Amino acid sequence: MKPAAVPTVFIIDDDRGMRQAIQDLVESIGLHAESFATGEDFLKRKRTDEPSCLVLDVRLPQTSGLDFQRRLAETGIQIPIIFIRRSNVCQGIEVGRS
Amino acid sequence: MANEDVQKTLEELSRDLQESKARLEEAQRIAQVGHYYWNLIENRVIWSDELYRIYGLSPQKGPIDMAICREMIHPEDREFVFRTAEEALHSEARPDIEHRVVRPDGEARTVHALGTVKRDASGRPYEMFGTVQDITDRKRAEETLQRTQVYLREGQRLAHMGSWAFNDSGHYWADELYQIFGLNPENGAPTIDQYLALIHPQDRVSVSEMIQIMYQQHCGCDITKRIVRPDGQMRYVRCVANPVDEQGVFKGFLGTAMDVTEQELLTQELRRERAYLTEAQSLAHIGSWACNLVTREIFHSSEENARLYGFDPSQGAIPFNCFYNTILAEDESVVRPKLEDAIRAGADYDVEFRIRRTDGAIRFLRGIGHHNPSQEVGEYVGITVDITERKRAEEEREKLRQLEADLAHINRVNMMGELAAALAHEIKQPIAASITSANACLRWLAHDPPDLERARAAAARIEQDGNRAADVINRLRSFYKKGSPPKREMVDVKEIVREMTALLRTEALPHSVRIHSELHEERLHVRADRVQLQQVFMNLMLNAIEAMKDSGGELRISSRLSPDSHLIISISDTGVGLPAEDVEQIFDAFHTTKSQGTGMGLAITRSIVEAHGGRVWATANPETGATFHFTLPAKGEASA
Repeated sequence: MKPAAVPTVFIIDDDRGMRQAIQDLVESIGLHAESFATGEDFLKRKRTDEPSCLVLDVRLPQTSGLDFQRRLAETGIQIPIIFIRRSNVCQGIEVGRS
Repeated sequence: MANEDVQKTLEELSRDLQESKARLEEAQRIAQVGHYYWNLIENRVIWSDELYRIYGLSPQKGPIDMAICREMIHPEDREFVFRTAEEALHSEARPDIEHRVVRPDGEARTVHALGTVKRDASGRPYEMFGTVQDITDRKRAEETLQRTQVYLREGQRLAHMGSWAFNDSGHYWADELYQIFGLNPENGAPTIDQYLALIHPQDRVSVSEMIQIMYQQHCGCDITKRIVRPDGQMRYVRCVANPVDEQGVFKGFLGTAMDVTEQELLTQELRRERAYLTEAQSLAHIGSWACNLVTREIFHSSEENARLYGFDPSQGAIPFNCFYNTILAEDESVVRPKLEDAIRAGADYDVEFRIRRTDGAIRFLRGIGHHNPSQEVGEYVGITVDITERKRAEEEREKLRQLEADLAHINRVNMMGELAAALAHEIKQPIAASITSANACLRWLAHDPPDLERARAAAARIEQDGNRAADVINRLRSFYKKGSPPKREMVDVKEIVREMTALLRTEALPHSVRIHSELHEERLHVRADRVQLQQVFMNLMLNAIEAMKDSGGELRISSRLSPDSHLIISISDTGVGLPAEDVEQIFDAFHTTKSQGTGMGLAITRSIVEAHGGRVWATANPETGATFHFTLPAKGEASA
């Protein structure tokens, strides 16, 4: 059981290595993290809590990160999103954290 | 006449008689003739001294024992001798017989016995007188002569050869000669005109002229001509004649005639075969030769062999040095030690070298030498093959291969150019992941206390992602490499499809192209050049992505085995489809529908597939898009 006060960061990235690295980085700064390979997987998750933040790859298979953001808006999910590209993951996370 | 005179006369007569008897005995000894009296009334026989000697006995005085006489006649002749004697007593016949006697030392002698029977007034026989001559030596000479004649006749018959003589005293033909000419010996030897009539019409004039010359110049001859036997059969006869000269006087000719039909036909066949061989060698540019290492000479060189080297065919034996001199200096320094080593070891050899012929032309030759141990010491036989055309073709092929390799390289570089953005992503991804992990790792270490377990896990991921980036770069490097000759090895087609799918996934993604592979066969190994096969897949897959870049779609890779053991790979897309016109044209070089294309992709694909013993073609899909198929021999034994 995690402390209720710790927010959860959700990560969507099709690259397994990248996904694990981001999750580890998020956890190393003391946040809780859950990761998904696709946006569909994220939407199908058990909604036990509201997401605090979403880290989203700009390029996703089948659909782009921006398209997915539009889809989230359509389904009424309000969530801060940090878009990342490969070259600026760390900066992105830092920016998102601040 | 007074008593004294009578006495004197008697003494003279006695002396004369003694002399006559002595002369008679001497004559009998010289002639080996003895005589006998057989008193039929008293059955008493008296022999002369020579007759005793003929019988191998010492001369004795007085009559010889008839029993001994009978005993000494050869047992096989005994009955015949006494029967003849008995018949002579009862008829007018005079005994004249040959029979054998056996001397006491066992030696048999042959004698010729003659006799005459004396009768009284009433016709009663009272005495037989006769001579006995030792004819053993004559008989033996006769037998030897007969034997010699039999041997000679048999020898002539076996050799199909007969002797003949032609001189003033007559014309002699051996029995075999009649056989050869198919004539009857009873008709005697033919005259010259009869002989000429037997000669084949085409040879008759020359034989007739030759006989005239022989008589005019008293010279011999050695001629082979055709004869036609009375039964129509044609034979080849070799006739050799020598003039006979007795003390400077020409006496005629002695000679032999031999039936050489079989040899002549064989010789003709041999000549024909040799002509065929010469022709075949000339057509195939293959020469044959034989050389002797002891004399260091090429003692046989076929016409074509001489022509290949530019030697004069009538030159006779060719010294080794002449042969070495024709070889180009840079090749000779390689070939000469090889040949000399092989020769020393008595081993076979097979070398290729260039020669400069006397006309200045440079030719590539291949020399194959076989040591022939059954022949003279150090004898080699072999062939020379003109491989100039093959060598030039090889050079041309090598140039073409190089050109093709260059084009293929350009094609790969171009493809990499097209893929640059996707590839950058493919490499950047693991690098970005490792930077992220490194960041996390530092943070785990900065915790108080440091979380070493998590830091170690992060470091392990850094290693994994680093390797991932290195793998991508390694795959690309072999693709970029230039000039390495095609290398055939067992290649796993499934693995190549996996690699290419990974490499092209990021290219396909932005165009919404999904890649599926349906490789059902369990074993998909073929003998191929890995990089070239990757290139085929990449060309066809990029082509498919290109066809769907505006519409998106599905790229499907499937495989199946054809009945003739070829692996058929099909790459289908759901894109714009094939051009309506000549579909085959798309495989031609420089044919392109893309604004940026070189038109080399499909041409190179075809060239690679065909070099692997396969083929490539395209078909339109029933609904939309196109499918490109290519085959590879599943057993992987392509020739190129």
